[in-house]
Amino acid sequence: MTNLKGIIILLTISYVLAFSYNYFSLSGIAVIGNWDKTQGVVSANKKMPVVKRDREINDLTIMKKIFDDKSALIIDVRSKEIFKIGHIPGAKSIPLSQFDELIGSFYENISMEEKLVIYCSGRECADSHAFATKLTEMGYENVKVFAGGFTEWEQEGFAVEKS
Amino acid sequence: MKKAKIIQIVLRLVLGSVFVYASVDKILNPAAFAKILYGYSLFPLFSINFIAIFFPFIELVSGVSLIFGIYSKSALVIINSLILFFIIIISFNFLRGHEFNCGCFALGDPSHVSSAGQLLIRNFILLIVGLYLFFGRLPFSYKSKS
Repeated sequence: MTNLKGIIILLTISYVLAFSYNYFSLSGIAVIGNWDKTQGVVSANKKMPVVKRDREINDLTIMKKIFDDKSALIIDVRSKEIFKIGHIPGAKSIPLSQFDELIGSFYENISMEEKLVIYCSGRECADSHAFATKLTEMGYENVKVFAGGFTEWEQEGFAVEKS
Repeated sequence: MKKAKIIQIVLRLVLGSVFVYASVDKILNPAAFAKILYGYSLFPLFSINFIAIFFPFIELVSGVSLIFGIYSKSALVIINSLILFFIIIISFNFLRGHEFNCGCFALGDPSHVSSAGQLLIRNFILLIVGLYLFFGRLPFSYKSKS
């Protein structure tokens, strides 16, 4: 019985500390996260979110139209090795991990008004959002994220380019 | 008696420290920990953030309480239950062939997948330590309590 009393005390202290810390911490998260894949890229829904739903293209047909109309520059942020195995035709490869090295020439050649669509592997990958955030901070005005990523593109049977 | 006492104190410090250490990265990166929980494909989606916020502090508080010997029996009940819970979920995911990042200590590499065997051995060792501390002797010990 004394154990039970201790357990209740320890759990209560944990609970109070946990939620106070989460409330005040800048890296805190919402009590309910965004884990429903149908809504877009999944994330814990941080106070300072990387994943922002309002810039997502959540519908494959819209993405296909952008591709067909060539109305945006498509950027693949997965690693070079994975890019070589298969990617959306015409996409430019800028791995998120090499952002700092590669962004210089990108910045010189691509204007701030250019429409950009970023993608990575899919709805469990937030790299596209991290990349989009960096571009937005640089001043790019039209940055979108294709939520379904390469996984959904390939599953739908759309054209895939290799090299 | 003295020797047994020293062993107990050392093991208490070790087990407590393991739990405190395990909690740190999760507390600093709750979003990364939540993503790992999501990757287990076990927890109801609405509960993931709640667990990610609450659970690391259970580890921290029970670890600290064990180290300082405050409500240490209660802390051991919590710690042993957690280890048992880890063993169950690791085994479950292993049996259904679901690969996952355990997120046990450092959360660094999100693509890192641990071997279930290693995880289970580690947890069984921790559980034996935890049970020894709780019952005052090894669960399989043939010696009588000295």
